Parts: sequence; structure tokens; C-alpha cells
Amino acid sequence: MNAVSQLGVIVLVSLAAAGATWLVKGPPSEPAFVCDPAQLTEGEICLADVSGNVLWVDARTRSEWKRNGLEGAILWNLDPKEDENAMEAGVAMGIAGGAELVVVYCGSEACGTSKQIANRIRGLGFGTPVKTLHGGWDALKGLGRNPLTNSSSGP
Amino acid sequence: MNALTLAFFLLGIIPGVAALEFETPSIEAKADLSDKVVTRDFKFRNNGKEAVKITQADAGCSCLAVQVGGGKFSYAPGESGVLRATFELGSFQGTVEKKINIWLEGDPEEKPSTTLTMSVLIPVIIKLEPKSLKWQVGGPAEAKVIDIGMDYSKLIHVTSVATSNDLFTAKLITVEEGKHYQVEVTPQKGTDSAGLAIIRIETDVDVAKQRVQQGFAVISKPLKKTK
Repeated sequence: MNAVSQLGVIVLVSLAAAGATWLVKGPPSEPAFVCDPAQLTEGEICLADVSGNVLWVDARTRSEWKRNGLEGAILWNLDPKEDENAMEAGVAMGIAGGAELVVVYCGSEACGTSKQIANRIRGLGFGTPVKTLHGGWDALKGLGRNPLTNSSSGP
Repeated sequence: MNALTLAFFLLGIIPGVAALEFETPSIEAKADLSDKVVTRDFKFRNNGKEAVKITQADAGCSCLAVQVGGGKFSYAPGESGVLRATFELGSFQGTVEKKINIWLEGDPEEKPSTTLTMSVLIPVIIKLEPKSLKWQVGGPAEAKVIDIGMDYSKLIHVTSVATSNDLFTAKLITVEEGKHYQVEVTPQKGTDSAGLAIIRIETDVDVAKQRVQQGFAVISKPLKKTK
């Protein structure tokens, strides 16, 4: 048996074993997002460090916000079809309502919208700390609509 | 095909040798005030050894349409093409940056092959400084001022100023007609309790999306120190 044939046999046996495992144990579960504090960039926060009276700001699309946005989260994205004044006012009222921390999340770690929105919120000049959630929605997946016990209520 | 390549192939983990290379993966565009859309082309070439097929291009926003030039999705090695991004400006001002994710055939859903960036600078012609006026609960209920500066080729007049509730009064002061105004805001009921009002400033600018501006007046408790 030459090398190619041997490799073929090894691969077939491996595939059979993998298939059997899949059938018995099911597909692999999606790994939970792990926030490494060493990888935080300026203005980011790990979900584990979010506490207190938090105002969540959802920087995803309106349809995503409606579908599974966090409880109390206010929509503010960069969709020009949205009314920016209304979104800005919503966040201002949320902050004035007593939020001690504003956390902005978007669709994924690669999404840059949350950082832009965070800068716009800082630009309002309320002085409340504004952070972006490291990992974005990836960090919130599967945690329910209220990942904290003490988040602010909203609309 | 050597044994190692065959093994990779059989296991379905053949490395991504086929790849599109973009001339400029990040484009900045300056919009004119009269623009409703801004369009830019991302040119690319298949510099890999395999043919590639674009399966999806998504900016995650209905405001940014992405089209593959000529509706052609498959590219042989050495072949070039264009992705056209069309951004609708809507009511936004300042810089808006959008990411465009490109998936090729075989890419996992969570990991597109390429991410492009399109930044659009939309001129700000009416600037409020500061955007928010703040008082502390129990502090002096003194008047404070929002400065309104115009940066436009025509005169822009402030036509009305209003507050969203009666916690505050707002008075318009003309510093230079059509160029420079101030809004003097006073907490008319004192500062005994927290509250917020939106200061709505209407102008006669001929750019509809920038006609209405807003600032904020807020009475709040001192912020707690955070780490």
C-alpha cells in the first residue's frame, strides 16, 4: 500500500469516528465569548466588569434591536434613515434618568459602529462614563435580555 | 497533488489559497451638502491560484448598498473586478464609518474573507457648543449659554428656540445675524430636583436634514466616581 492509499485510509477512519461522535454527542456547541482584559482597546469594557445602573445602547439595526435587543436598550445606530435627533434624545433622557455608565454594543467584535456611537454620546457632554462592549453581540449571545441584575429600565 | 495536500483536501481544511486583493480596502469620501448618496468603487483582483466566488457582501445597514460590478460573482486567477458601495446620507452629520464584509464561497458565516471600510464625511454647518448645559441639584440656578456658530456659504437664521418642558426657559440672542447666535437657558423652577429638557433650535437653512438642531439642559446629581 503506498503513502497516498495509507493516508486515504487514515482519513476515512477519522471521518467515520468524527461522524459517529457527531451522531452520539451532537454538533459542537458554540464557544462562549471570552473577554481578555489584555486585549481591550481604549474605551472598551468586558461584560464581567459591567455593573450598577447601566444604560445599554444598541448600535445594531432597528430590526435586530427589536428582535433581541437587551431589556431597556436604546437604539442608536448609524443608519441615515433613522432620526438621529430622536435617538440622541433617547440616550440623553436615559442618562439623565440616573445611568452611572453607558455601554454601547454592536453586532460583533469587528463592527466599528459602537465606537462611533460612543464618541457621539461622549460628545453630548453629560460626563457619564461611556464604554463599548468588547465582543459586541458575541459577548451577549445566549445570556437573555438582561445580562445584569441591576440594569436600567428603558422603553 | 502530494500526500499532504490530498490529506488537507479530504479533511476539507485546505488553506484559503484563493483570495481577492483590494487596491484600497479603506476609502474616505467627502460628501457635498447637496448629495443624497455617495458612491465609491472598491477595485479588486484575484491574486490567488484558485477561482473564487463572492457569495455575500454586507454592510449591515440599509443605508449602504453593495453591488458587484456587472453582476459577476466568480473570478478566475488574475481576473479583476469592482465592488460598488452606495451610501445614502440621510440626516447624519460628521463622519460616518461603515464596514463592508465580503464572504467568498467556503467562508464560515462568522468570518468573512475581507472587511472593507467606507468613511463618509458629511459637513457640519451648524455647530452647537456645548451641546449640553448642566446644573447640579441644589446648585445655583444661573443662566448658561449654548453658542451656535454657522459655517455655510449663505446666512442661516435661527427661526425659533423652544424647550421640551417648563423646567427651563430659553432665550435667543443674536450675536451676528445669520452667522452667530446664542441660546441662554435658565432653570426657571430652580435646581431642587433632577430633570432634563431638550432645547429645539429651528433654522432656515436650505439643507433640510440640518434644519433642526437640538441641545440639552440637565439638572443632575453629582456623578459618582468610577474606576
